[in-house]
Amino acid sequence: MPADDTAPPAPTIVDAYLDGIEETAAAGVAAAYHLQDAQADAVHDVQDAQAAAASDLQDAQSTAVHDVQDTQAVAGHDVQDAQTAATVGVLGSLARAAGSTSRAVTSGGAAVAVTFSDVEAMTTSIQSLNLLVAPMIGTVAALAVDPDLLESLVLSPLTGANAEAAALRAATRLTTQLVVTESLALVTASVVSTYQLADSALQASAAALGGGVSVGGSVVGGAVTVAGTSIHGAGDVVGAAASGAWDVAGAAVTGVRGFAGAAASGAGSVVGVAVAGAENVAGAAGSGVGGVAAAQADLAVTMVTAAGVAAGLAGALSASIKMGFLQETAETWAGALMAAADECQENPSGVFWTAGIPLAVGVGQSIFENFSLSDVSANAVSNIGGLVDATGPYFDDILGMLIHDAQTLGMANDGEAELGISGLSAEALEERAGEAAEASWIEIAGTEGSFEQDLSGRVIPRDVSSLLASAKQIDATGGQDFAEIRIFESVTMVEDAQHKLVEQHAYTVQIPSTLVWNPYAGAVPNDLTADLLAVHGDQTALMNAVFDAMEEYGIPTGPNAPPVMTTGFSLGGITAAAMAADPRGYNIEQVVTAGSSISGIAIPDDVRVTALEADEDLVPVAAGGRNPESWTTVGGPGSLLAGESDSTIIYPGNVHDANRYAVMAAEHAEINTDPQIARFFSGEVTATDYYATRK
Amino acid sequence: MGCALIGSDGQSKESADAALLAIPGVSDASVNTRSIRSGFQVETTTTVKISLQTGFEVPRPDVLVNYLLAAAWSTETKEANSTIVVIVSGHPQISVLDALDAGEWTRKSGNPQFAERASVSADEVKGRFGDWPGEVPEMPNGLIVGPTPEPTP
Repeated sequence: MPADDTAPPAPTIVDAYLDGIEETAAAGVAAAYHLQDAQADAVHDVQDAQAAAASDLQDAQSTAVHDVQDTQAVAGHDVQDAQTAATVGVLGSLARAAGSTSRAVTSGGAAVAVTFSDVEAMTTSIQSLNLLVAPMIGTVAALAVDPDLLESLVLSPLTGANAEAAALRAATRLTTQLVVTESLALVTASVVSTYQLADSALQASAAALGGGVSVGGSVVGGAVTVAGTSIHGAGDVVGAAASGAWDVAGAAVTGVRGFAGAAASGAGSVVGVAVAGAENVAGAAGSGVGGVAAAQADLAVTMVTAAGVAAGLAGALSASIKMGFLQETAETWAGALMAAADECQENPSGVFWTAGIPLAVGVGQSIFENFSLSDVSANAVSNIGGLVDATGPYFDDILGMLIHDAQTLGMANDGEAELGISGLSAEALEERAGEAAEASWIEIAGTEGSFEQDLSGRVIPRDVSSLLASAKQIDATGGQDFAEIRIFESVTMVEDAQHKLVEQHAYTVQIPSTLVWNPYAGAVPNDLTADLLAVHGDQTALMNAVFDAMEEYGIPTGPNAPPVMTTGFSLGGITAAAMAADPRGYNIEQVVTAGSSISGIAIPDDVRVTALEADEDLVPVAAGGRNPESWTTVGGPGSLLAGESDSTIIYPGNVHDANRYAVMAAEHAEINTDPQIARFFSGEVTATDYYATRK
Repeated sequence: MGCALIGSDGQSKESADAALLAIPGVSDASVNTRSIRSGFQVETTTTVKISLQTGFEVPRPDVLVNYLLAAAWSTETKEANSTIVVIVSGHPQISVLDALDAGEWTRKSGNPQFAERASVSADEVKGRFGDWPGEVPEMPNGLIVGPTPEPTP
């Protein structure tokens, strides 16, 4: 039955996460304003200092300053090289340590014991190395505000500005590396705590059961024997590597500590709730008695690991947003300085005045003009992608653990889906379809008009942009009531070898995105459960329902079968790619996705893949990795909808939208009208919808 | 000819439905709101829909559509952030899109093959009627006239 249209949706864990993200973003925006104020003050200070220094230095010290400048440049390079080498060393050691731990953990059925003290020793050693690296960052960053270097700007703006920019960029790079390594260390430490907590609970439960019972044989005198079902713990050790970062950036970057703290507050609250919840559950389990105790302890372990992942995700998000701010700040500073240097080079008549304005004011003005919150979002997303990448091949373990734990708690049970009726009248379906098509046109085109539609209001695509409008339409029509699967059939008349006109068929199969974010699987198969399983590489009820629709429609299979294109936005795109990897006899020749995480899906080389992935979108980087070079991946900043302006901030919350991707497609003519894709829209195109729900 | 406002902010769905049903010649009417998740955001659309009894005509479709938009914007269900959809079905059938044109609405969409319906951007409606919920509009006189007598043989 259709959901009550007016009833407010029940709050979910996902809503809480989203609230946390929104809080973080809001805090980040507020912090940006504080940062801008601080920058403005700094610019004024620099300007005053330059004016004072100019009068003093005009007398005679140019030679001496040049000497200082040269010395600094050399020293700066040396420090930077040393730091880079040290950081690479840290990362290498860490990767080897993590790699061997995980290899040991995943080595078949062999039981490998990893003691708490082993892991703690590794953590301590990583943090010790980081303690060496952190001050170096301060040294490099300090170069940028070194009084002698600032003085040198007066006498040699070009060289001085280049040195400033190099110092800022080096500091940013090193800080990023430090965050990654420190994250790994912190998370490793937190996992040890997690296991100690779980261990206590298990031992308490075992004692309650009679003392002689070893729970699963997994607790051996303070060491955790990692084998069998405990493999999900390995996912924690490496996987939660993405966690903990939220603690670090503030310490690593002293200059913007206030901002970093503010940015952390949103996600911090989520983490706090998750951790507190886990401790309560674990504590409760630890105090359990009798036969119930073991089950409680199991629940405790599950909750602790799930909470660890939740904390990790929130922490990684927060840290990445902060790093995004830092990178954008440093890049903007560096860019402003480089631009000022260029200006000085072109107009050397003014020593510290350019284009009629003081150099420092020009630099400050450039910063405020070029600092972009949308770029901050893009940086943050790139950082999250990097953190996920850092988990390497263990990402599947992490996700598998999450799914396992969720299923233990009764969530994420996909089951089976079946095709059936929508439960809505034809009139209601047409109203929903019309409403979506009209809204999309207003957002995508911004002018009066409409998409080509059939008699039921379905959008008939003629390019990639309108194909994505159709993707939005099936989402809007199905909503939280059913998964709407759409099949387009294109029929064109062509001459065969005997010069007779024959029909040529091509099929497009369109799959809906995630419409339900409840972790408990309900009637609608395009939900969070499908997301988790699809990203993990598992078959989903949604995918099976799509194949059922293809069979019911009668799309031919086997040799010489007509071409099929699978397509979708977000989850729909992930499913489309997964189907190409397992085509079940269909001749899937083309995949088109938007905002989908598909890099890890093993699509055969002879299938063309076109993927739209906006820089600020978190979803495409969710599984880490990079798309193969042979695919056509369209990146770049998220596009503006009609009615939005350049001041519109593009961030993960609003960029993940089929209509925005439709605009992006329209802006890339080579994609929008790609002949290999357009052949699926040529001639007479008809649309047929199928409605899937879980049994 | 615009639509006058009564002066009170907002009305319940029941009140809005009743006011629309009170228009002579209207056989069915409703204001409904629907929200869907689009990616990570929630998009809300309000639909105002009336059916005319056969034979009743709309002398000024733009005035009727403006009134319907104002009524929808004043209905306290949930603030639309996507579009306001207007559906007017009857015999003879007016073109809602043409009515929006005449009312000088700019951010709109409608397909000529579905003359009974068209949509306007919620931003534009907000720009014209103010913050949601808008004031309850006063029903203009002569919105719908009829019925037209059957032609005598």
